[in-house]
Amino acid sequence: MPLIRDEGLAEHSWHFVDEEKLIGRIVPMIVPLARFNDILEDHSGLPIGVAVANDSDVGVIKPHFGAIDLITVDFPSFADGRGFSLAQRLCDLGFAGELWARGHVIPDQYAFARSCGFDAVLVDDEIFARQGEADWRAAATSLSLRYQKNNSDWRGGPRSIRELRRSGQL
Amino acid sequence: MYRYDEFDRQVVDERVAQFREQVDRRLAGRLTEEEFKPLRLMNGLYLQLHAYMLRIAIPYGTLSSDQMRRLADIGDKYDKGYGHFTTRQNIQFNWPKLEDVPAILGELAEVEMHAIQTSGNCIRNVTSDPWAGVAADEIEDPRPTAELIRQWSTFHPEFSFLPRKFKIAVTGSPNDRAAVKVHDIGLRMIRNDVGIPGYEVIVGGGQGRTPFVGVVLRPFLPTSDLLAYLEAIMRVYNLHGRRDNKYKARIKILVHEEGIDKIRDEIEAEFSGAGGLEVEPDVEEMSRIANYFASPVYEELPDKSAVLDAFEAQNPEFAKWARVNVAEHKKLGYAIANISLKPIGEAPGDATSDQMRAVAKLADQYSLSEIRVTHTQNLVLANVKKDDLHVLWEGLVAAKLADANLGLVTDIIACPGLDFCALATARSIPIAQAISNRFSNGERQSKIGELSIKISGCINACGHHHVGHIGILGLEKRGEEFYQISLGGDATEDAAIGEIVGKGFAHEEVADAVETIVDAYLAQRVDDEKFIETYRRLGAKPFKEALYAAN
Amino acid sequence: MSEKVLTANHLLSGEVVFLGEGELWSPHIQDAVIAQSTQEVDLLETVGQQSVKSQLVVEPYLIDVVRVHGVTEPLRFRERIRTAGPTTRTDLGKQSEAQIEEPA
Repeated sequence: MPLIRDEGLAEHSWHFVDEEKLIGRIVPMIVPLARFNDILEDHSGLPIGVAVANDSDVGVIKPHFGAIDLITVDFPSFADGRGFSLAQRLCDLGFAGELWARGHVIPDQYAFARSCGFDAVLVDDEIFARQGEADWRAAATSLSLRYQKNNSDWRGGPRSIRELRRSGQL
Repeated sequence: MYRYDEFDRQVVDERVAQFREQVDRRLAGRLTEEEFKPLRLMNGLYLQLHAYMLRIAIPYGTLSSDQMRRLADIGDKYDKGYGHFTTRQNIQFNWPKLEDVPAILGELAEVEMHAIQTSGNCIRNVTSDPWAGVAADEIEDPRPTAELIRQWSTFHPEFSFLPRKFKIAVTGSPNDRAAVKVHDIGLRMIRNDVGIPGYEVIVGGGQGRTPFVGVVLRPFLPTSDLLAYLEAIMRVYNLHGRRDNKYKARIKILVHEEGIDKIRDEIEAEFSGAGGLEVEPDVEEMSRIANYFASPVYEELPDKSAVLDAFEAQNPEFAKWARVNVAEHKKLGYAIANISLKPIGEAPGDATSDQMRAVAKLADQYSLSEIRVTHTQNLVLANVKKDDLHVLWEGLVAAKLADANLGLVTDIIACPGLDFCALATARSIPIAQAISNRFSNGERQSKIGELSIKISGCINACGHHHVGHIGILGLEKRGEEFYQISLGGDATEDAAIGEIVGKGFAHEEVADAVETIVDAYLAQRVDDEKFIETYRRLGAKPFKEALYAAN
Repeated sequence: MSEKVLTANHLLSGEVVFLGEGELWSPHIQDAVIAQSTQEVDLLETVGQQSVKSQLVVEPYLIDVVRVHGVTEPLRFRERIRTAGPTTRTDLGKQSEAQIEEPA
């Protein structure tokens, strides 16, 4: 699954681990939320990633936010927008690590994802086969303004109309 | 009314370009229809029975005469010369081509209009009182609130892929002309006991397959907390609304299944927690918007108009229109003129491009170039001097828009129904036409008085039949059209869902059935009781007996 | 099995179309190929899916038809309206353009 950031395709060295036992971890791993306690036991010193479903109760991992480097949020369907709220909630709860939207996200949702606190999109292969890097980069910048207040750290994102109006009034 | 600044304009222009690009990607196959569909729906483009249908936003039902003229031009250039005004104060064109839609959106953008979020699983057009800012009974003008919500909800990054559509309505009058109690969120503008303005927040109203009257979520919300509180509601809904069943996906189901207390706890927890995008109330922005809705400069006029009185005395037809279609304005010497889009025997809510131009011209001449659209599918000229009512009426007569039937039995709401809509199970417009023709006699209509008939061509209830005094729902039974009648619905502050009277009726029987119901009312009413009052006093029994006893 | 035709909407224009001979789509139901067996139905649906993939039409589906004096008519009321046009505006839709072909 390709990783998309603002500049386009990006590299990463994470591995998703669903079923295997975590013996002798030698790579950065992303484990499902249910396996989170397994990885907490691990003393490899490698980065820790957690994959959450979009209906997860993320409050359970809040005490461990400091130890988690990456959280991915599943998008089972692009029509299912729960991940956007979940990302917001994670940010509100104080999570400061990397946040990725994972799965069925289309380029037209990239800007929304970034605005909700996601740092990148790990996109489904089949979607990427039809809409490649150029489509993602184009869609990311198609709307340059936003009405809503902006509490994401997305520097290249749509500018806040509220702030522009305010500065225009000075 | 609100005027775009450079930023509003840029938002709409960019959206036009974005949609054009999305269409290109669709035609090249890079977007599947499944992926394209929510994107085109968020631009108001449906695929209907005969063709695409474009639903254009008319924010809280307000438009300028220039905008109305542009709609007329679009109707002529890209459609079949007419448009349909809807129960959410929008306008629909039934015959645009996908290949023309980017151009249509471009032409709309030139007059500060768009079709953003008029469909799709997102926050829809915020609706409000069509007499906002001018009604004599108004406590607070709801339009600044509606405009604030409109901007906040446009391309909201968190709430564009909800479980289902989301509808918000605002009223500023104790007489609710915005049907706030049957919306996902209804806002009533009130003052608390020390006079501070705020909102009563009502949640979980709605029609469709499972109608509910909304319940009070928060009896008083200070004005400055509005957006933060709405965000809390939307976040709870987005995360917990059902996504397994399209017919159980609205917030009304969540409220019903979990209970208002549990939902309230979740929302209040969300609201009081740190974070959310709108934590800091934006007092400057609210006041910037409110400036656009300052009262116009009115002339100082006497309450009585000699000109009006003289014409009323000499022209009974005009006098009737003045009595039925004109409402009280807050400013002495002014009036609210209501234009019926329910001429006898015609499709409710339709207007030809020429009629739209006629209304635009009359608005320029007599009502400060502004027009309102009501959720009962009529139009309003909200700032007419009493002195001008007669000459206005003459203009309406010439445009065949002078039917004096506001709120009467022939002021029928009907969805497009099976004649146009891919979701419909039966036709609604011919039913409306049959009833309208049956009751065409003006005196008879006056005698009957206030009676709202609302017709939906399917269970989705776009005709709002659940809240009609007489509601008619068109279904299909064994391949034939079949109509269920309900009584006692109400869309006002006394909101109620109508109750089905009994066995349904065949297409040809509906007008007779309605006449039977009306006759039963006339036989039973006491003094000046309106239909709904008689129904509330007696219940369904006399009507059931009249309809079914003979069988 | 009742006779069936495949109908869809033309992607670009939204117009109601029917699958006719030579895998061509026509706005007239009289041009529609009528399937009388399950194999013929499967063939129609396959062509329908190909037309979706080539960005020509959207939402193809089968409708039941009868032939009355050589004239193809949908069985279901809804499909009759869709084929002809709104009953409330006979000046609009296909019915206003229709040239009824005389049976041979």
